[in-house]
Amino acid sequence: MKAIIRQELLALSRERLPLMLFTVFVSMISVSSLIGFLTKTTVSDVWIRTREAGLTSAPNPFASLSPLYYARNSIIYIILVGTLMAIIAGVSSALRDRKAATIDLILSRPTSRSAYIYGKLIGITIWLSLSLFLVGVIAAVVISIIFGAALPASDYARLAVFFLLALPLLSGFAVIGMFAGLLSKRETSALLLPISFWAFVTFVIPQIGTAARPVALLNPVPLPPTSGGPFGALNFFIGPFAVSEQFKVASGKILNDPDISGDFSKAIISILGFAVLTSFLISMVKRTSIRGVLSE
Amino acid sequence: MNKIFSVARMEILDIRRSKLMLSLLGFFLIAAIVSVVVASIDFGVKADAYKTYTDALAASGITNPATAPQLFPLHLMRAAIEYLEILGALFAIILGYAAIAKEKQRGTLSLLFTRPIGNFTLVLGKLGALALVWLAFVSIVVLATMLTAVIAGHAQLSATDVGRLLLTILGAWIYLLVWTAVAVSIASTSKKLTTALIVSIVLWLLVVLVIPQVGDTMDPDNQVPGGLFKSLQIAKPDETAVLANFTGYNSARDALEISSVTKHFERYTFAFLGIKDQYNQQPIGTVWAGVFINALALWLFAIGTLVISLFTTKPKTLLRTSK
Amino acid sequence: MKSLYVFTEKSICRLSVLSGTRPYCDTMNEFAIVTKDLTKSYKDVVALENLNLSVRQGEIFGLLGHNGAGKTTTVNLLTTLLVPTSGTVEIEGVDSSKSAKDIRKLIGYLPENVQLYNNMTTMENLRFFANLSGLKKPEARIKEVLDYLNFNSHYNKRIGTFSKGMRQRVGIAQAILHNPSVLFLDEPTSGLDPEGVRQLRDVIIRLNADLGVTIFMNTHLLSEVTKTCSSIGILKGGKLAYQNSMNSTLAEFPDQDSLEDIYLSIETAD
Repeated sequence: MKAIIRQELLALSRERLPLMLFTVFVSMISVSSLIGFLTKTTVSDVWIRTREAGLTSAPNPFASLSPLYYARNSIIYIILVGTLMAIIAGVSSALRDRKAATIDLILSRPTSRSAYIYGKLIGITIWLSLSLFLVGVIAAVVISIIFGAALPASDYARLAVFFLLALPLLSGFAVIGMFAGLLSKRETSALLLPISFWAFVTFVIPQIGTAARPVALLNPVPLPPTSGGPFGALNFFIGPFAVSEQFKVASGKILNDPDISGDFSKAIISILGFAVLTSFLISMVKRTSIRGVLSE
Repeated sequence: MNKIFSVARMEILDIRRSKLMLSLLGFFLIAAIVSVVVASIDFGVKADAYKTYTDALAASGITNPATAPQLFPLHLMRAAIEYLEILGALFAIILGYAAIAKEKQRGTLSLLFTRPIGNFTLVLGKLGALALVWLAFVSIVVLATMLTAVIAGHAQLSATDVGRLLLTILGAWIYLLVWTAVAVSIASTSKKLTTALIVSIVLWLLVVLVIPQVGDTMDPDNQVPGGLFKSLQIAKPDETAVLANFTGYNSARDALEISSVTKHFERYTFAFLGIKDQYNQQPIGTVWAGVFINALALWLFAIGTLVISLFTTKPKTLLRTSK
Repeated sequence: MKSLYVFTEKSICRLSVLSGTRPYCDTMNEFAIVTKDLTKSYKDVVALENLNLSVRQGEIFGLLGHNGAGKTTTVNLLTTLLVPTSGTVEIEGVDSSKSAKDIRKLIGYLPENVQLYNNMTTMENLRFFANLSGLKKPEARIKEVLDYLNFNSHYNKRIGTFSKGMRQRVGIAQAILHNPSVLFLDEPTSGLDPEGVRQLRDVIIRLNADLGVTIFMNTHLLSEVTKTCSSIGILKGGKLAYQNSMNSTLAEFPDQDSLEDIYLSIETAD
């Protein structure tokens, strides 16, 4: 198992595709903090102008914002880019041995199927944690620079918890990618199926539960479900499956965003449940399907 | 011409036989229909809430000052259009990619190019087939969602609405063509096919999701739930006056948004469907004048990407990169 | 009889639409394939250097060589898939640098490991390639060719269900549909079982005998060429190291074992 984990980490660090998405991920997280800063400065100025023009006397709603406000958009980039990166890592990992036909070399050694699968999964999870750690450090540094001073320790702790919470979300999606990589007959469908699944979870499921429109789902603040009619019940049943929406709720609370409403513990259960359930299900993949020939 | 037609027929046959492609398109259609049902129910809920409110007020002898929610049937299609904007673009990439990737993987390129066909026969046939598939697909989606709106949402369509829908179909068709052409070009020029797929998807991520999202976040008005100016109760002319001081920031934001073909598609369709208030229930001519620039941008994106795909999908590029 | 005329700079060839007749060019060239100083290089690697090769009409020519000797590059240059860095290729007197499209009307090609369109039937695959070769209503012709290859019972089956040998049969069919005068086969027996190899060899010999097609094949199997080819060439490191008719070669090296010896001595000599 140790050998498989080490092999997995080595391979992931040398493969181009996961690395490419990792670069996009890192740059989006850094840029997003910057954009948050620009926007906040502008909106504060807008408010100052408004007051100078005598149009309002309300206190500036942005003056007292926590520096964690700048991390708000990171939530969206974890959902959009991070999960996609995890999926690609999962698919490449599962396809690697099938493409090179090394799977028979591995399985003809005294390695059990579950040691093989979980070795890979642990390897990917370690890789994902390192990625998230790096991204988290970058985010913390950028935010401190924008804020102009070190943040209170509690804020750093909140950031750390936020990136830690991203791990089960990402590893859940990595497992979805592994499923497709282990079971698909073709390389193309191995990539397309989990990406379609991701699009379904991110854009379609929340729409059904909350009547929120797909583009509105790009907002880091989850929309509260429409009250009345069948939506309460629909959301009760469907909501937990919209893991990305649940992630917005949980991380919004962690980052102390005043605009967030929703059930924090339910959100945490949903995210952890997603990770645990997928990792359990992947142990059911049969030996014969792992060895299945890739065609076209 | 006959040879182009042969290539196109083969491509369509191939898509029709591919379970993966059919299930993707079918899944999209169902999601779009469901979204209209959801929007109809949502409207019903709001109408009921209004009635309860009015009744309660009437019981205490006050007439309701708020206007009743009004059903604009085309508004029910908003989520379906947004699906086209996000998932449609993704599927357009997948089909465009597959059209080229299949030939590379099967090793059929050398069979094609040792036959007396022109440099552009293959790409014209493929793009022609995909254009036809998208036209049929967009028409079916728009028609099906409209029917759902009429049945589930008890909506009534006017003759002008049909015109608006046709213009929407046209816009969506061009939008999908852009993404298909982009994927065809990337698949043709990439040395490794998986890289081509991922590069296309990263591009999709940036153009369809990230840029519009960044644009929205940068909008000062979006920083407060319900709108900054609304919450401060500032009238439109004053808002414009205040914002005049931030032209630099706003034009940067605008530049970012207009670099994304998705934003043009959104502005174009939202205007014709009346989702944007300013254009709601306006005659087609007025709307057209308002979004002419977006329509033009859509066309330019389409022409640009199609020309690029013509010149990148030549025998020389394809053979150099095959395997 | 329906005929198709191809006008080229040096000759007028009539490609018969019916099988059984050999394509006829009115200035019958002695050679079907001629290359002059044919060279192909990529950046700093020379894949093929000054190849001077000539294959007579009606021959079955076998090009031998180790992996990486330049065999596939040669076939790609001859079939117009690659453009030479320098030198010329003439097929039936047609210069590839001047009219590649005319050459494509004269040749048939079966690449190594071609998969064809898995979710299409034999008929659908062949109709497509026939159309691209300019045949308008090819159904009758396809049936004729499949009959000839004893394959008509698989007419309406999807290729995805076929064995490697069956696929190769469809591959041959697509290559001869349009009655080419030169047929190029790249490692035609690769991946076939012994039975498949024998059947394919029979087909190659029959095509050559019945239709008079010139056949150019690439292979690294020596046993293959001794059984099918009428002349051979050996490529080594991108250069032609040996070319002769099979009869002269066998006369020079009287048994198969020694043929292997000459192959090896050429291959290992510096």
